[in-house]
Amino acid sequence: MSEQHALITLEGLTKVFYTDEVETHALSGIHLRIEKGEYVAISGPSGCGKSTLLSILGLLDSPTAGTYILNSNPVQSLDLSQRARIRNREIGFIFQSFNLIGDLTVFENVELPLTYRGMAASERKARCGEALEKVGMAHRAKHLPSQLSGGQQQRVAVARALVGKPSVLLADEPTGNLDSKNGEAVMDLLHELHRGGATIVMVTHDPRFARHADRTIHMFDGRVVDESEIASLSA
Amino acid sequence: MDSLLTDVRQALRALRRAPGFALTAIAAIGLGLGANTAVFTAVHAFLLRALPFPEPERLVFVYQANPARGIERDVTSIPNFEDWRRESHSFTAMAGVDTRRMALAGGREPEPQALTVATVSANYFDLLGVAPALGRGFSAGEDAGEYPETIVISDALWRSRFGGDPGVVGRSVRLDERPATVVGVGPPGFAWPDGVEAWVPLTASPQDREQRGALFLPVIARIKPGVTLEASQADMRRVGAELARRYPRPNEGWTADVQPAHGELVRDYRAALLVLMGAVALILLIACANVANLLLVRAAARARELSTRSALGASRLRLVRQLLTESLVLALAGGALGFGLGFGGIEALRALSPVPLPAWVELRPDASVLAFCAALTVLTTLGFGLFPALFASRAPLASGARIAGDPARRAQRGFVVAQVGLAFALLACAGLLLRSFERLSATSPGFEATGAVAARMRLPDTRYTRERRIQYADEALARLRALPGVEAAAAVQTVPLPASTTTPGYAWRTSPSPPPTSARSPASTRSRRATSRRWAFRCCGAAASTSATAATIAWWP
Repeated sequence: MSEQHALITLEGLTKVFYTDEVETHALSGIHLRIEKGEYVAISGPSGCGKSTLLSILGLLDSPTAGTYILNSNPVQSLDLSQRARIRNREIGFIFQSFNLIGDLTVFENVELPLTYRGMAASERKARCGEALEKVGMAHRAKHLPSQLSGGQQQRVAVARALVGKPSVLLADEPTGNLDSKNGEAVMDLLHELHRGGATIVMVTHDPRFARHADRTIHMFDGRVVDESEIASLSA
Repeated sequence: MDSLLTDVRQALRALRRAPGFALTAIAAIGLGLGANTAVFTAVHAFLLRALPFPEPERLVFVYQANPARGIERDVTSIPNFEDWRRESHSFTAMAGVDTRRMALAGGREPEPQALTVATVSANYFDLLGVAPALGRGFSAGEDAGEYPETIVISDALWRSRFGGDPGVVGRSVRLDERPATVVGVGPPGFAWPDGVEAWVPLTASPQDREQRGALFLPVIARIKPGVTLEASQADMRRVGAELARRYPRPNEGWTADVQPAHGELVRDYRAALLVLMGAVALILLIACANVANLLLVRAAARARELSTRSALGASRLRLVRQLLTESLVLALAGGALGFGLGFGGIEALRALSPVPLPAWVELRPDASVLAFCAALTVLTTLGFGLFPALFASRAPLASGARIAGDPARRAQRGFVVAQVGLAFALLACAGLLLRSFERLSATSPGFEATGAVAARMRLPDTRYTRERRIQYADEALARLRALPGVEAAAAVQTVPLPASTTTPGYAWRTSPSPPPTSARSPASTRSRRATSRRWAFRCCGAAASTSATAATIAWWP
């Protein structure tokens, strides 16, 4: 794939956590390219650094060292407000536990990123309706999250993630809190979004769901490893 | 605006879903704001609101002062007052204002009515800039005689005794059994000096006009435009020095001083009100610390929500705004409650006041009080909401773990320490006040007041000459002493430690000069010295004194 199609490029990305006198290397020299329209799964054992990587990709955290280029712009050292702005416009999040805000209706939850963007109410309404239609939840727009099943909540979360038409959807164990049936339904939804051109990066430890992706990145001990390395590390 | 409304809507919903927290916070804020509103209403009414006269800043009181004897403010005599008025250059007008009790006959009621009457210089109404609602004020020269022949009645008296008759002007009445003509009716609500029901010209006998040492007359004046207070003070010091030189016998050591009228009127209230304001400010601070603590706990519980909002693109400023909006909604509800409680508090202050409030003090919430309440609400919002909002918005984006961590606990502990500290400060102040009150209550006044009664007897000048008054007192004392159960009886001009030593509305001594020797009976002196002797302060007259063990008659020549 050519350089001009790269949506995300990580060069020598490291993340070190400091607690008292202890240094924890969560990520060690990650090199990674994700193309536009690609569906990538990140997998690995617990504590391998995949959630930390996703946090940095989503500008929820900043790397200790290295370069992160998103949509041709270096974003590794932006200030908090610039990161918030890019998160709002370029990134859609799908969390394991949905993270819908209990005080807000389904519609208001989906509307939230657009509200932060300062979009006019009429346009917000149209976009939210469209997003909810896409995930099949338009009929529940006035409900509160507590009135929905887990699967329905995750679909609303997906609608919220895609309502702002972000460059990339970041999903952190999106099926982790769902039964297999609802999990499959959400994966089908992501697959459908991908077919529509969405770029998706999904963290999962479940190989069944990782198979939905075009490519799976394996992580171990804060590094990206290939399949052969996994075999030797597992041995 | 749209996003602000969204914030308000979401804040209302969030608070509705946490009614326990919301009600607790609103109650705490409401109590704090209510106390502050009530006390500020009093502070505003006494200390900040101008006197209800045109250009009130130019109104001053003029005093005699004797620095060598430590007397900063004293009333003056008629001859000194007339010299002040004639020889000073700093005032557009100067008026003497005394109050006395007089009997008014006439009007709807057949019985005479005892009135509190201000005896004022003829230019009194012009000086204050007050125009009577009916008729006129006094004309020049009406205060030149020996007895008042004209009277301006208050609006209240006009309504109660004359039935609001618009034809009252020109009607003849009797004042202390002498004829007088009603020439005017004061404007509604005007009762100045405080509590007076009518005004008569400041008349005096030829002898009184000569008695330079008979100090009884408060003096008010209006400074000329462009003349400073300091210049008027220098002017009056010059006049005072000249009078001391010219009349050394009564005036030696005395000078004259000028003080702003408003400051003098509120002098006795200022310290108490400011202390009270400080106390309620502490209460509000405690409430703020309390609510801030609750908000911190709530922020910890909402860490996931705040992280999610942040992940969706809310900047820190946006999160702070959202949280402050919730605080503002709480504060507004608390402010509304506080304003309501403030109303009640004002009535409570009025009811609990140990002395009647001056009539010129309008103890009512107005636009200024409302503005104060609004400003305090905003400050309160920042006071209890800003720190938790800043703290909560520091939440890590990926997880809210840090909110619930050590820094949050440290902040909560800090707020608890602040609350306890402030509460202890208040408690200590309250304890000191109680201790002072206890000591004051235990202080001996120098005589035994138990079982003592007093009566005030007012003998009209028109029927009682000086000799007849003394004769009356002697006879009354003899009869009182003959009553069973009466140990001692005495006549005195000023009863010891009266409930009020000030002329109503004025903060100065009413009678610094000793009464004539003949007006003080031997028993009076004996009773004051002998602390074991029973003494009385007041009763309703001879009939009432029959049940008392002793009586003192205070009579007013």
